Amino acid sequence: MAYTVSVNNVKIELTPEELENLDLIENGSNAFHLISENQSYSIHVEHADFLEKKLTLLVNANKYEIGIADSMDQMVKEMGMLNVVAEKVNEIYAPMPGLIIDILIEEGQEVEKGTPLVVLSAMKMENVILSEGEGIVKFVKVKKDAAVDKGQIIIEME
Amino acid sequence: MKKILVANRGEIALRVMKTIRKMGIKCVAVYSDADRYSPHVKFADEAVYLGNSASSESYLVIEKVIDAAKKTNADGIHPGYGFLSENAEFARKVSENGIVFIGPKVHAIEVMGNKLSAKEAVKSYDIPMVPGIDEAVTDVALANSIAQKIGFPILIKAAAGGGGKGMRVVASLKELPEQMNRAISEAESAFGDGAVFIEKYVGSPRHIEIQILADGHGNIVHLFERECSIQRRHQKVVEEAPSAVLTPEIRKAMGEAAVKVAKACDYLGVGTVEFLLDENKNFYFLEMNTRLQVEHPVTEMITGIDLVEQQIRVARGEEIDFSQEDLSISGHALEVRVYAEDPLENFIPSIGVLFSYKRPKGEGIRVDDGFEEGMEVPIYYDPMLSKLISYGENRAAAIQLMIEAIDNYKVEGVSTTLSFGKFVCEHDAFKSGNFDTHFVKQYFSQEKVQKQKVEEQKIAAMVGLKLYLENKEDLKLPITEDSNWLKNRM
Amino acid sequence: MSDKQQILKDKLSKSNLGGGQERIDKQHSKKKLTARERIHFLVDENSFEEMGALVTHRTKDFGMEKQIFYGDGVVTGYGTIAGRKVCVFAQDFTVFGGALSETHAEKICKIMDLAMKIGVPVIGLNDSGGARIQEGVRSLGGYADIFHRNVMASGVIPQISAIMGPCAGGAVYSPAMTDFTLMVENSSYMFVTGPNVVKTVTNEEVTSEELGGAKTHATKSGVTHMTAANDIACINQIKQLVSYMPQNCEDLPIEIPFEFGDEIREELEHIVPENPNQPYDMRKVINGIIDEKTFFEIHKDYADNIVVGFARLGGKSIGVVANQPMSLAGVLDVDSSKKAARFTRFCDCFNIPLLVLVDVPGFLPGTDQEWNGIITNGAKLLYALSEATVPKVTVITRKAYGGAYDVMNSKHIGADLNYAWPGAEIAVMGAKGASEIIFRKEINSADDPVAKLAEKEAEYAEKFANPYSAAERGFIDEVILPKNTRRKLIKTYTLLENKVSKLPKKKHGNIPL
Repeated sequence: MAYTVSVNNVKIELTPEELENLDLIENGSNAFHLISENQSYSIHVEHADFLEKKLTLLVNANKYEIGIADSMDQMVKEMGMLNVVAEKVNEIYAPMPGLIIDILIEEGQEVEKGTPLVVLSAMKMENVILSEGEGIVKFVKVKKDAAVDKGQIIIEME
Repeated sequence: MKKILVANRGEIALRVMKTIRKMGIKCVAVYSDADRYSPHVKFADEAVYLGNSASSESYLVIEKVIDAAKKTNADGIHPGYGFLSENAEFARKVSENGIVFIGPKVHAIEVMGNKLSAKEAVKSYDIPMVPGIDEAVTDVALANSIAQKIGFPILIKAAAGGGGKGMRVVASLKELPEQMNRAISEAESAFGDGAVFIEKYVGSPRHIEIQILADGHGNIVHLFERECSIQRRHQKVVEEAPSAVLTPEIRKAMGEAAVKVAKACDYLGVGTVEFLLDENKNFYFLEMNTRLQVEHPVTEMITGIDLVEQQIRVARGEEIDFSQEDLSISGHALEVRVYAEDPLENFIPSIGVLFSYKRPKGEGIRVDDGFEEGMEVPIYYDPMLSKLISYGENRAAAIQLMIEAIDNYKVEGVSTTLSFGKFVCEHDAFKSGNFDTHFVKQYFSQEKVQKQKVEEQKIAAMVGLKLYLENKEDLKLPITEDSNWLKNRM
Repeated sequence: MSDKQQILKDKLSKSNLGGGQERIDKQHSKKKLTARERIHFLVDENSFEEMGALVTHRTKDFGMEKQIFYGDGVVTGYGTIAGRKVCVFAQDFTVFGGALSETHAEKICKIMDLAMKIGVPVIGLNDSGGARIQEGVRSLGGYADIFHRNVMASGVIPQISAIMGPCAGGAVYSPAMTDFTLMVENSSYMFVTGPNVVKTVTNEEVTSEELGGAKTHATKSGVTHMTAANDIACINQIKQLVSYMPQNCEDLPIEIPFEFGDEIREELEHIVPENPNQPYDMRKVINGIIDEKTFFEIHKDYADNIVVGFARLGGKSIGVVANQPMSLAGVLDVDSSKKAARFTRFCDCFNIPLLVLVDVPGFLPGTDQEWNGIITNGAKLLYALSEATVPKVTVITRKAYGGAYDVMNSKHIGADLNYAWPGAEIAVMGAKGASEIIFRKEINSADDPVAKLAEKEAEYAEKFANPYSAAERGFIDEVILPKNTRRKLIKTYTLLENKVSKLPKKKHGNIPL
């Protein structure tokens, strides 16, 4: 099985076979010594989280952050499961009947999930309607001080 | 003198206090917010808080430092190096308040503080100087004619400057106007003074300085040279004493010249006269530093003289109790400045916590530092962590000892120049003694560094993967919690 | 390798492939992981031990005797999550579409029985087309065996269901009876009857996703507690979820070591607006009180006028129930009452102390609410909070009006410590409404009724729109500054650590379901 090892964001492909001839000896607790091509390297394990497959090593006192991805990790990454994009929304509905007392965005504005869009007054309470996803405001379909019914489209997004 | 305030921080404050205490004198520390945990504060008999971490609000505020001395009844102030050590106004105010300033007199600080006035002062003493003019020029046409007289390449330097700012090498007539204007504007923005002067550019220079010591009774001696040619960004990183290239004759000539410079400004205490040595072993006076130098330990190692002790003695009015003839060089000493910098990333400062800090120990090894394990490297001050000094019976032995000491110096949490120090010590040019101030530019190339880095990255990746794979095979048992399950379900 | 070893090796590698490489690739092409892959990411590496990898079905009809797959469509076993034991089953869609057979059900029952013996959580990863029709009633029996075990395990060990593919028909009732359900967006759906049957019976045109997709159940029905963008996100949520829970009802949740400072949170002073009609985000209050970044919200997209979720306070796991003034002014209605009641009961089952943050103007009026039984449903929350014996602490941040004040963990229904912020208004109703009733005659007979109403409103507000009349009666134990809330609560929960509170002996209560 091949592993992708990232070292300070540089990716290196390795297989366990390549490690077989490593001249690595233990040299105290969390310390190792390695000889490669007659060069001597002293290695300290500063931090190791094997469950998360993350290590911090000091090689000749230089710090290296290491992340290990096995073939399964690579597979889910290729399947796009590691970088999740916020969902897009198309329409924003009035969740309850009320009066639009303020519009907080403009047409053409980019919004993220949680951006306040309009303030709807109902039961003498002001309710801030937040965007449920990300997108660009296409139309604002209500005016300030307009009454809206439950389920009415307030904003269209693209 | 019964109590001395050390107006400094870090390694130098600690180093000065150690001598003060050895002499049976009490010591007072000053500190800023960032330094409450620093060893110099804990070491001192008394400590006075100055203010915020920024040095402009603490170590550089003359009134605060003098108030601290008065509050603690200190009768002497040792300025260390940097901060207020070469500030004439500070020296004057210290004296005005009836406190002894452990350093030269105000006059000497003022004269040597400006390169042009320094040149002017030593003019009549027959000191060799780099060909050039000794007054400020701003007129390009005038500069042109001077440059032609002394011959290209020339060096344009800021009169008020230091640290490489306002400095320009000009190879030919064609470049002169442009470079001159840039030097002036740089000097103006860096020092608020656009005055520049012109010197002949010395091609393969070595930086060699002479340690001098003067008392108030007319005695001046020199304590030989220090070679400080290994520099990055015009700042020294590796120093040694004696120099590998000085013959006894040149040493004597330079020593005598340095004594004359000291005489020219009526010097008192310890000071350093800096020279350039060209490839033909001609030396030229550069400037005089009117303070204790960072690299003073190498001189102490080869002469056996505690320079801080001498400073205090002459400040007390004592006469130097040895003569030039009593002094001799014994063995060889090397110093590596350990900066919190990443040599592989162009020496950019590396901030962090020293979560592991272990000094090398052994005969011939000296570490001057102001840090302890667990401390944070503050962002407000010079990034120097410590000075690692090795001493051996000859140069080769000192170099070898230094390499071993570097290997045994464990600093984790920040990058340091230790690896660069090792690179220097192992380099053939350095070992042979055949190097100049362009050492870093010439040999410490980025490609080599890069290659070494790529190799290390690969090693790190392989070792990381190996450790992970080994760990993966280990039997791991679940956490056995302190459970009531069995107890309650029986 | 000896022959005997070779035979074992062959069998296991066959079992490992489930329905074969072709079907695995097909599963991947649908952006779904296989059962074994899901388990790999769920439990600590190399910790999983499989049970029954060589089980096969016993059906001889419809040519099934020729289709034998080791494991029979479900991977079961045990492992650890962050070092803590868990029992896991994962249905394998590559084998008969994950269809449940008698033997498949037996494997699930076996792992549940084991979990019940040793007192550890059960996590089910569901991905199944339904019953194995070729087996007929035996398959149905298998479902019921699982349902019964779900009920028996309820309140004894935490049960978590992730829906990572289809889950239709009777199969939905197992997740429904577990403590938490998670659904993966766009690849999972849950319904009792599918779109085809819906079309025939009610003539409604509806897609699977609309009818029972993750979004539908997260927002409309509340069937799922959480949704995730993909399998990995879902698995990570499960890991986080179990970190707040104990292993079983006899144990306490794991405590994370915590180093205390002064624990004063200045930002809490600036969240509640001056104007009592202006909304604010109660999540800011929650985040201001709890340990940084430890809030794990449950039912985030359902009934958002109440916020519930797990958090850590000084390293200890707590359950938070909080009115959300930002939505419907934080009123209690049918859905929010159900949501909070169910969460409260989970916390009480598993020794997780409760923190109730109150800013409630009352119950939502309207025919819709009354006809949908706000009475019965509101009673669920009242019952659940009243019945809970774990440490129960209340902080009133602003409004606590009317019956809703009683419901929201008031002193009277057994809260251990009740705090209020200085701006709290604890009263029967808002000042205006109250004045209109109390001073009706006076106002109507006044020369200027509007001015009179305003005058009386101010009078009432001054008397009751504060926490002090409640504090005078001892309904509030202490009026505290917002910035001191975290500090106070950490001390309070430590005080209540060994709280003993017993319900009267009974078979079980009769919560108004």
